[in-house]
Amino acid sequence: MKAKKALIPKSKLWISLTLIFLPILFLFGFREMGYFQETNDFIKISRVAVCVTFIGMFTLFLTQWTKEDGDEMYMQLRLRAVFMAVVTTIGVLLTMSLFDFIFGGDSSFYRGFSIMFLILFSQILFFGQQIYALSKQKEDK
Amino acid sequence: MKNSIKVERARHNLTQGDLAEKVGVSRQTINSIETKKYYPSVVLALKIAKVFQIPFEELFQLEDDD
Repeated sequence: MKAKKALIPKSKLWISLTLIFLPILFLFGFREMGYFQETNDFIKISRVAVCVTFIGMFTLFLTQWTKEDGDEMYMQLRLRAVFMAVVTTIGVLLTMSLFDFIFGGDSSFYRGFSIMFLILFSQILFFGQQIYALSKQKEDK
Repeated sequence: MKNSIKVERARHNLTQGDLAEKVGVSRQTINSIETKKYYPSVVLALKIAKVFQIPFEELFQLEDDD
């Protein structure tokens, strides 16, 4: 399992989870404490928080999810998850732009952050589903 | 593509875990190959054939709809 070495060990899963949730918690904590005097401050800091969260989501995707994760089949599942995530994101964007065109919405949805979030979230979701299904397989003696 | 891994495993008295360990993949991968959910790479297929000491084409056969 050569690819296994390229993945982040499961014991370091806490790093990914911390990177995902800590910035969000800090952001809401500071907001509740009234740290942000202007809306612009909040937007700037929230962008930083979102970037760190994205890094966390990406590292979570590259983490060894189960003890056997890391061989060629799991790598193919990862590739499939990336493909499905991109297809889903394009589909969602097309649908939203169609609705915007018909009903006249704003273009805030098309911000890079939304696209990144959709892609990374879908990757984790698709890959997680596949891993869950595999973990349910029983050994055939 | 059908395969006779399950039969050969039984003949050699190997579990999916044993075979997985011998060829360096996960047990889930062997399970998925046996149930035709995943088609292995040529390298992996040859490694499995080598474990059972039979020719590759004896272990993997094309089906009519392939």
